[in-house]
Amino acid sequence: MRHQSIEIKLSFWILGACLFFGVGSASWIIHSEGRTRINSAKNSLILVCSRYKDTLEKKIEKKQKMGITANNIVLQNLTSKAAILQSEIKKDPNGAFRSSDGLSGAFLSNINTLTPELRKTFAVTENLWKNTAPLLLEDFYNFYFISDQNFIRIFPKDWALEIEPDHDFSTDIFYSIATPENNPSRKPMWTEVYFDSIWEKWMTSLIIPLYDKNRFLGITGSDFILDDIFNHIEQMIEIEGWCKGFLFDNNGNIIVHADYKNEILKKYKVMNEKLTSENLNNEGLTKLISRIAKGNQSFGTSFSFYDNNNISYAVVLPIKFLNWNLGVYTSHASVIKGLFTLGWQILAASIALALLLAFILKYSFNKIILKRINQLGVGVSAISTGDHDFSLEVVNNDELGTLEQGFLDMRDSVKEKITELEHKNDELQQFAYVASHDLQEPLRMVSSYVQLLARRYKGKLDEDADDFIDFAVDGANRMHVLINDLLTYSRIGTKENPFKLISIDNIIKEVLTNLSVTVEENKVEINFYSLPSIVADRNQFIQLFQNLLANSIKFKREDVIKIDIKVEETEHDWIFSIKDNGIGMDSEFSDRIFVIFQRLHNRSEYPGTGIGLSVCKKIIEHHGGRIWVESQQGVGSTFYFTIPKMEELS
Amino acid sequence: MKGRPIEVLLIEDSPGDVRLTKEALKEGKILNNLHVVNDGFEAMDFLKREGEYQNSPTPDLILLDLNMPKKDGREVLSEIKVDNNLKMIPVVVLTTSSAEEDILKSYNLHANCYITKPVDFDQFINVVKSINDFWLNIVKLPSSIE
Repeated sequence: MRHQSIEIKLSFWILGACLFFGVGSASWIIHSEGRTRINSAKNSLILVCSRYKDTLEKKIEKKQKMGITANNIVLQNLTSKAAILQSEIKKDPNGAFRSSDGLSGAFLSNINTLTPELRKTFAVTENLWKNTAPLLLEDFYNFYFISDQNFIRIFPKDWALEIEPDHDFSTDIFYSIATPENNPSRKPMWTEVYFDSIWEKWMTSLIIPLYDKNRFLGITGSDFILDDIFNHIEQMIEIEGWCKGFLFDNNGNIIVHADYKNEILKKYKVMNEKLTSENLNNEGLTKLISRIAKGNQSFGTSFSFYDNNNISYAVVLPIKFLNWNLGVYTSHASVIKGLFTLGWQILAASIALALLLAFILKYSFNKIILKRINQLGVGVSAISTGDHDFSLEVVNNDELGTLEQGFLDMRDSVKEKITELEHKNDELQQFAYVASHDLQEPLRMVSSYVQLLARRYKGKLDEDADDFIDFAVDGANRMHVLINDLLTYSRIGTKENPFKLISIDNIIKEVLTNLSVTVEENKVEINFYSLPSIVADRNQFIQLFQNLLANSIKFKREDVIKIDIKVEETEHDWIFSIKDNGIGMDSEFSDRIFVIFQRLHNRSEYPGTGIGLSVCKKIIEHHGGRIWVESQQGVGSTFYFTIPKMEELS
Repeated sequence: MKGRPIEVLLIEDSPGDVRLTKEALKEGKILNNLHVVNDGFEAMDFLKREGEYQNSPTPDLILLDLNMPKKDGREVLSEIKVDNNLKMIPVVVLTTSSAEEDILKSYNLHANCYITKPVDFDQFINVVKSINDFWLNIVKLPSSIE
């Protein structure tokens, strides 16, 4: 069924096209969606980072303001007020002085001596701390004043009472950081983060220098527990979920990172060291941090790096007041997560759409076009098999409608022509019949009466008369054969006998019986090997083989006539061959011999009308086959003919 | 031989053929009463003793040509073979045609035999002799015809 293949082809095309566009749009969507997501992720990173940076800075700024306020209060009291010391200044066995009023404590290293001025400082600070410490404690973990005389007043008191007697504060970072040598601009200083092993807390200290005009008096300091800030950042990561945050200082030390919490703690706690980015065992992050620490990377923009070999996007912002940087990052994988699922969904949708389209198109195509083409196909085969009454309805005026109308016109024209031809053929058949009867009738008269003449008057007239009578008889006889042959020739094709299954073996046997006289007169060897049964007109095939075999015998070359009859089979045809060892002929005559009345030899050499092979040709053509000869002068001829394999009509 | 001469009816339009048949009978030295009619109507008149054939004998054998003017041999044959009085008379179709359809049609109409007139006169004499021998000497026919 040809029309199905059009359907299938079309469906494949549609399917292919839809798949092409499906895959194309899926990949385009994935691509553009990926870009969008990455951009939005980068923007989100900037937003998140800025937000937490602000929060962090506000907290620190608040502390710093408070620290400065407290510093001013201390300065004012130190320079202006005199006070009475409530508690006793005890000199311990090692020469250091300590005092405590239960709230705050004070210490003077044994490096220094207790001058009256220092005694005043003991008293002033005690009073001041008594009044201000409870207020400060709301925001400060502790609050202390360290003078340039190795004196310290601190709340809570414990540290002042436990400190080693010969302690030199000038070597302590929380003092030295703000000395005029280290901090000429006199600004508030923040120490690096450290882990306080006594309190077991993350700490940083705000150290503010104390100047009476241009005289450096010492520093005020307070320590801040950073745990809440760190927790805050870690929480942020939990809340945000999609990104990670971390803090590091400008020396490249990691301060906070959720993934390295234990490593950081171990370093600070056990060895009192810092976790540098080099110890992270995360090359990408190490590079990123060192680039920023060295100032090779500008802040505020997003950039890509490898986090443990995963492409990630990061944003880093500096924290004001501290030399800290806040970074947030997220992995490329988490940004584009679900994108491939989306792609597959689009692909699946486009396949579904393709199938639907193919189905709809097939259905409508079938209804609009294929059904009608099929109908036309049926019509064409109907006409080709001789049904000229086949009709179809011209429904539409479209292109197919024109074709359909054209088909109907063609059918009418074919029908008309065929009727005409059939009529003419009938006339010819009629003519053949009329010729047979009406020509034979007078011929028989001529022939019979000439013979009667011969019977009664031969030898009674003169010699000429006898010759004339002989020629007349001979002419009449020849004409009789000619008319009979012509009649046989013109009768082929009338299909007066239906085609039936006939055995060629039997046909040849019957032909040999018909030719028995001739066969007996000559030495004839005929070989034929199990020839097939075919569907054909029996009488015509007897005629065919009779003519061919008679020819082979008639045109003999040697005393022993050898004839081989063989058959070959192809998919659609039988190919018969009749090979003889006769006189053969030049190949230039191989077409001519099949033309009616064409003869290659003089009648006196080989008798005949020149109709035999043209009858064979007509019989074969009437059966839809082909006949030809391959011959060589003086060697022999092989006649071939094909017969299509047919089904017997019941 | 019976006590009376054999009556043969030749239904033939061509005078040449009539003469030829007569000559053949003469050459074959066959002495029968040969009655000749020239078309189908005359033939039926003869057989039914109508018109000018009131006193015609019932033939022992009919030699029938197929192609004749007015009423042709096929019609005559079918009329003879449906007529209860005539259908027993043997009818030999003697014609020039060797067409398959003529042969088939003749036998379908119950012709007793079909013979194509040979072109050769000697053969024709043999045919006429054979017909005579077969139908009038060899074949046993019912006595009612006589």
